[in-house]
Amino acid sequence: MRHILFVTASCFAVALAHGADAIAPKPVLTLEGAKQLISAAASEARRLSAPGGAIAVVDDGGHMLAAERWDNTFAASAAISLGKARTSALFRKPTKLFEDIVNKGRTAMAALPESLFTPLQGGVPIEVDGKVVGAVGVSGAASAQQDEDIAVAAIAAWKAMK
Amino acid sequence: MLKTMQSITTICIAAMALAAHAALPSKQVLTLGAAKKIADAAAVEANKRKATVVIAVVDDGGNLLVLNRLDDTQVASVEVGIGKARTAAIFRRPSKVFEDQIREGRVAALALPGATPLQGGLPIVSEGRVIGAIGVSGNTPQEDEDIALAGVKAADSIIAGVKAADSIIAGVKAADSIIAGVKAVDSIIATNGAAVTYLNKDQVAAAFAKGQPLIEVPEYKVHASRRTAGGMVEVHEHETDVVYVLEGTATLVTGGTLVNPKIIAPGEIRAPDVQGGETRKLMKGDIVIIPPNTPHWFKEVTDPFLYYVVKPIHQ
Repeated sequence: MRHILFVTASCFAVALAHGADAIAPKPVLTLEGAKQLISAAASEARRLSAPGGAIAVVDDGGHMLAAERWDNTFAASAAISLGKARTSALFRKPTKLFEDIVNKGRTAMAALPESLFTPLQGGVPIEVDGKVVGAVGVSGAASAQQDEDIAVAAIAAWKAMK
Repeated sequence: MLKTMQSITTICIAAMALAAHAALPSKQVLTLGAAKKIADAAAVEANKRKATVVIAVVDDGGNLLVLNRLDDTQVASVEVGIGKARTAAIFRRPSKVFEDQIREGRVAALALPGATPLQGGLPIVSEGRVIGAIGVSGNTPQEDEDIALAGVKAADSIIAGVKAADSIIAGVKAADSIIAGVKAVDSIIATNGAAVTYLNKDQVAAAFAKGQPLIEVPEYKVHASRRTAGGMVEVHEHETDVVYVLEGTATLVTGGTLVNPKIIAPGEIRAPDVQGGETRKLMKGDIVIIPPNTPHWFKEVTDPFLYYVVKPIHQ
């Protein structure tokens, strides 16, 4: 009986020690940060004379924090920019990686649900202190490459601001 | 005979023009600038109530223009907020109408495609037509709608302001200086606390050697501009160009009507030629201030033509 108690106590101790490890702080992207990213993206789009653009900023769960669709940009770009940002946040990778994988023959990957996976170039994760805190997705600029260029430049400019 | 043919042709063309007009009437479109002001007004109301909500503004097709998730808002509200806004836009009525219908027994309304039948989405109306909608989610249904209403009120005043501005353009110009004054105060508030930018003379000279932007931030741009030949006719919808000539001479045409204009970027229009307008010869030491939406064309320049441009951006 004493033995069982001892084992139980040890289990609790292990669980507690584990608990301390299991809950760790992580930087969180705020609405203010998301708005700064959008503003930086708008500056870059103007600099590149992009014909239009929609930008979505999501948190680490792929949930939208802020979004904007610039005047005269096609309507679907709003949803596509969100898909790119979400994919990038959830997989913690630029979406170009997945576009390349699908294009190079792993077509089956395109079967992943749309709620999870938009394998189109233009989504870029935001890393702070080695952790992905969210992602930026851009759609509706001159090309998929320009979509990504705007997202990359926005994140770089935003990090320089901090 | 020929004369009859000619007049028939003329009548035909006139009739076709009328028919084209009937087939393609114009509609009011919500711009990003207006959508942001609408979302901001709702955010102010939400903050007043200490409410954590998502605010979504969509166009008349229910597609997203602006979304803001206030800090600490439950993430599920993103989809719900967009859904309420879309419902109000595409069904052209407050989303509460469907919530009420269902509560009163019309459960079938749950099957409406594309509808989120929950209170908190309101249409934005201009001249009796729905041009978009705002959706709010995260708080009680009534509070969500109240916060959305603050956005709608902002939309109403923007729409009224646009109409007032139209009449000002038609006649009185006095309000311009008042608006300019308000904007100046706004920008002082906005830039208060911002970092000081310093560029030394070598950096500036290097930029002029190539003709490059010196600074581009959301509020303004500063360019070290260099031209070696005439350019396109330019129109900036959101920028004033304050030009100071440093070297060379140029023929500058301002105003007039654009020939074959193309939109090359949001708020940026270019054209190969302009009809009419005012022609000026610019030389070292001259200053020209070109307001937004004014065609301007460096038609001919000496090589090189150097000028310093400050471009305040009006969103």
